[in-house]
Amino acid sequence: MVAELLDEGGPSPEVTAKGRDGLAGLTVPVAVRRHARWTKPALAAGLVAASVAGLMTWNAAIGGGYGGEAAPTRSAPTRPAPPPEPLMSARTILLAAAENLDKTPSKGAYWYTRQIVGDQVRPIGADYVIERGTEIQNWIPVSPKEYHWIVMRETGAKPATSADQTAWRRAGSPDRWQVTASDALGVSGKPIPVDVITEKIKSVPVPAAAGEPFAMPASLRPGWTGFVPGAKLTPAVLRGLPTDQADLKSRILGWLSSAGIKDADQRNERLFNIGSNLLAADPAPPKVRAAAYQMLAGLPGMRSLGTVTDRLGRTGRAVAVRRDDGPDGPRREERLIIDPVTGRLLATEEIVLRPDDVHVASRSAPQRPGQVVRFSVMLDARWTDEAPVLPKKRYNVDKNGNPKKPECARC
Amino acid sequence: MEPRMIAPPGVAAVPDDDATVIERSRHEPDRFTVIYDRHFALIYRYVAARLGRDVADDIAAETFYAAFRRRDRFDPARGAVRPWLFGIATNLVAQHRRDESRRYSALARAGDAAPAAPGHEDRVTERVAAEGIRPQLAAALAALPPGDRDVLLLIAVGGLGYEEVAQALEIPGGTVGSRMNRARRKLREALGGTDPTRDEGKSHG
Repeated sequence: MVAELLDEGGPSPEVTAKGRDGLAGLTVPVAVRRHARWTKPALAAGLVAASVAGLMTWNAAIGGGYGGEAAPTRSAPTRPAPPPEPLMSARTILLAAAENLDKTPSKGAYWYTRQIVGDQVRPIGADYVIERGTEIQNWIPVSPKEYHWIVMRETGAKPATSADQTAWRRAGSPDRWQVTASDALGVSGKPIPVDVITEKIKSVPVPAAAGEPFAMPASLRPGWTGFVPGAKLTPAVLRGLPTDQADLKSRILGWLSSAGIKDADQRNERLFNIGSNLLAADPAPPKVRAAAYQMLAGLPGMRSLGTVTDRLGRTGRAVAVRRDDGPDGPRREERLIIDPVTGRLLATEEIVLRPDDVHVASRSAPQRPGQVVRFSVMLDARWTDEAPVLPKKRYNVDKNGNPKKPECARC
Repeated sequence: MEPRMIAPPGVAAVPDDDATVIERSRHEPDRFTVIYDRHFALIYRYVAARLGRDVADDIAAETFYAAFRRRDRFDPARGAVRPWLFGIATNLVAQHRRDESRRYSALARAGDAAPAAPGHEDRVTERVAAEGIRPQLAAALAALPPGDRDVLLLIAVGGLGYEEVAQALEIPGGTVGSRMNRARRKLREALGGTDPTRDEGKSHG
């Protein structure tokens, strides 16, 4: 009776679409969105002469290497590949990484990371795939009173492989593309609201050229909080994590249990994900990172891919897990690429093994085997006392460039 | 809800339960649109019921913007995503008390017939019976203390269970029960004995 008295019905398609656009404006700041998007955008500038430019342009744009404070300018691709060696098991690779990792206690006000996150996607109407990326810098503060700042910059887009480049030339070498909103928005977990909301396929442009850097607070409240099922991570919580792998695993399993995650496959997948984040992304102490490697070494289904190169051409040893078993076998593979010398995480990749039919339902672009649907290459990751260096262009800030006030007390 | 394995376009399979989506949106903000797609209509309906469609057009979307901004603070140990969103929506509604009471005043005016809600044709008889007591019901709603009204409307309109209301408002389960009983009693008094919350669970749960 109360419900009927008050019922005004559901939202109109226009209101739903407008709200969704508004949300997209937050997830991808408006000015940036015109160029590409937030987390999975693109690679180097200078695509017009793309032939050989690819990786070289990347590295020029990227600058210093990922060698820690001691070797700040090591340029990755110039490093000689190690001699051929017998295939190491995944367990050996991971345990060696734990061993090789520098375990000097961490000191610094911020955990600073610089990485390029990107993906490969088929533009609308194209018979080739492009690769795009965004450089992301994170200053994760140890202090709960300081803000976590993120600085991002689109690094551009280019054809993914030499075959793609040939097809791209045949298509007249366009310097911008349209990708479907479902791809651009990085994916709803269900078919994109093509019919439900807009009645048509939405698309966004992706230019070949790189974008301007911009900054934003990761949250409108100070401090860093990481979320895993069943626990809230803070720098203090990470500092207190066990440095013994069995204890670390028990702790994480305790979180998962309290979040109701009890299925063995799901627990293993979460252990992999949470463990992987501890390797570089999260502000964990070195000994916890080493324990995370050892924990990963004990997970079922870890495969060795031997010696590989990452998106930047850096040599590393890779381990992988296969996920999402379809009728013909697993559909995707998640890879961790590890520096064989320092034990540091160089890159993560998610690769299509067998395309599925989802794109048909969602009308997003079809995938092909081997397509890298998500990658992250770590350029720098270290503790530092140096305060964030922020560009002028910022989002979610007040007129002084500081984080905006939150809307209300609880949100 | 048990996480399901779904292979979405562009990214291949990921577990897509709400909490996982929010977890992933910490580093991949655009994934948050999944939460919007799943819950927008529900939140809109709730906000529109309390504030009318005009205000709801903005406030329903604002609920998701606020949720997105605090996504790294979503705590799955304290409840599911749906009550969390309803809690944020209720906070935003609270900032529009004037719109809300204006709405109840309008509904309380005799002869100010509300448009029939779609999809309720099979309940015409009940609705006709309800038409006669609409003014009193609306007036009684307006007279409820805000906290009691929040509980009542989260249950009757939002379709939340008691436990979810407790999560949404961050209050003990016992408080939800006592507020609901009080609200129900007041409405019943205003209507001369008819329980206006009867059947709400069935039709909107």
